[in-house]
Amino acid sequence: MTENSVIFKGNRDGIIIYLDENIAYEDLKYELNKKLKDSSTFFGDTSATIYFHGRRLTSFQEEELTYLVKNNTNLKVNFFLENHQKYDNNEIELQKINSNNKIIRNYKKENEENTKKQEKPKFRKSLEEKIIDATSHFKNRNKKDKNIEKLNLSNTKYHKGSLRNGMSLSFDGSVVIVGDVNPGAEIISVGNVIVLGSLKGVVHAGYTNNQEAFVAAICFNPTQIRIADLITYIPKEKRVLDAPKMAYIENSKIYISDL
Amino acid sequence: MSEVIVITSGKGGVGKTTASANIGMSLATKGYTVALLDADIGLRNLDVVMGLENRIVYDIVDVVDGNCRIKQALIKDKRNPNLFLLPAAQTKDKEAVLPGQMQKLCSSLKEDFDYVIIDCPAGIERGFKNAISGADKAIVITTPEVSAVRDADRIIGLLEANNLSNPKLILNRIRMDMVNRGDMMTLEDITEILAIDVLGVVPDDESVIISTNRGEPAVLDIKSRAGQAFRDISARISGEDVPFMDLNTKENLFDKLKKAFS
Repeated sequence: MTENSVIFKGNRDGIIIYLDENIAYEDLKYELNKKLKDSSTFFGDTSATIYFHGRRLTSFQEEELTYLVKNNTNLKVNFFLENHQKYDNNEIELQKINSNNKIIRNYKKENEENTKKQEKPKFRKSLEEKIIDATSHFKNRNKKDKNIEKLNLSNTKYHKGSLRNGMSLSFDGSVVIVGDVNPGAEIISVGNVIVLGSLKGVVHAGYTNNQEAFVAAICFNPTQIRIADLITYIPKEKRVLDAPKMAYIENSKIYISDL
Repeated sequence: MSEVIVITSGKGGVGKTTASANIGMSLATKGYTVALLDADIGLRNLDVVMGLENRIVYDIVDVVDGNCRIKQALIKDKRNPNLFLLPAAQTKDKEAVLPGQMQKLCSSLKEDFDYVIIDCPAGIERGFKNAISGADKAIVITTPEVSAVRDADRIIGLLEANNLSNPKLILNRIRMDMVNRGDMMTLEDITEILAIDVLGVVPDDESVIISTNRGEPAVLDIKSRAGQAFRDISARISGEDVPFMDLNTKENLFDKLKKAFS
């Protein structure tokens, strides 16, 4: 591990963090963490803009490093600028970055929006947000909004074909079944479950405690529905064959509604 | 004095699960506490026949693996508070349970219940060995077909080899009209081959198919003749002396009624 794998530099626009591209990411993370701790007093508690420089970062890595900066210093961080390109000169021109369509993320603004939205019921809120995110994603396809990336990168397993009696599909993310789920089959999903066919088996969405998960099916007739830590089934007299429905949690209860 | 009874046949489709559900239900109706244990891991059906499929959260494999307590896995019947079901796992196979674990499970169930009825899977492999390992008594069920009787004979041999001597016989799905025509094996033909005590004879009855599909054991239907036969069998299990029902007269009376209404 080299001493100079992480270098801090200040200029009039903010603080530039130079990252060595030749060492492993984990080492880099460790080094950054160490340096931040050593120099936390040096930064003080001013507001500043942070640039990462010199190394190509995935959005996840960037998020992780941003988190490190926020946690280890008293800086009032306003903007983070993604900078995947390598600059030869030390000066970073804001305008140039903007014209390159890199995204500016304003954490403060985002937080304010979140608090406003919390008045709505939880499930509705998240569903609407997802829809808004998805539509804005299509509008600004060239832009890389991390929220949208998160949504799209959220693991989803697509299963083509039917799940028969005794088959079990468990997945660390959402599950989409293009086919039927027969009685005796089970799906255990950390995220949502969507069945493009008839759902007659046991389904567990939001395993083990994702309250916002939902289950949807073209023919919604599961033997048993589990979402997060709740379990229910549809009583015989309330069963409707061949109806598209979905199940979700609201106020700690599983609700089933028409799609 | 509680008992662990395994219901087995060797051949598939002769009525082990139906018999388990009906005997369990009618023993519970008599006031005994009963635990039904489905040993058919991977091809479970007892929960469906009992109409309790949608209440399963934990199963037998969860119990033996220590993922839950026995009481958490036991499903109380919706009609009878004396009756409980311990369902089999569906996404596992027979190898998921060892005979020793089954033995332990049966002995702890025995403490809480008057009767533990085990629904044995078809075959003579691991599932069968698991099912019989914890049992005190065995009931062999067969139909009046040569193949089923052959398998029953093999099973009786295996039971005796495993210290389950003196199993009792249930002859299921007999059709007196065919017997009278000489087209079907009689009870005497079968006992001559198998040479074990007969616990009961159950007539072939459409109502069993209807009730099984509905998830309601036939013993709950007072009009069902098969249900009556299973009620008699349960009475004999609990030590009562019940005469065998005369299948011929019943059949004739039934026919007469049928003719009267048609």
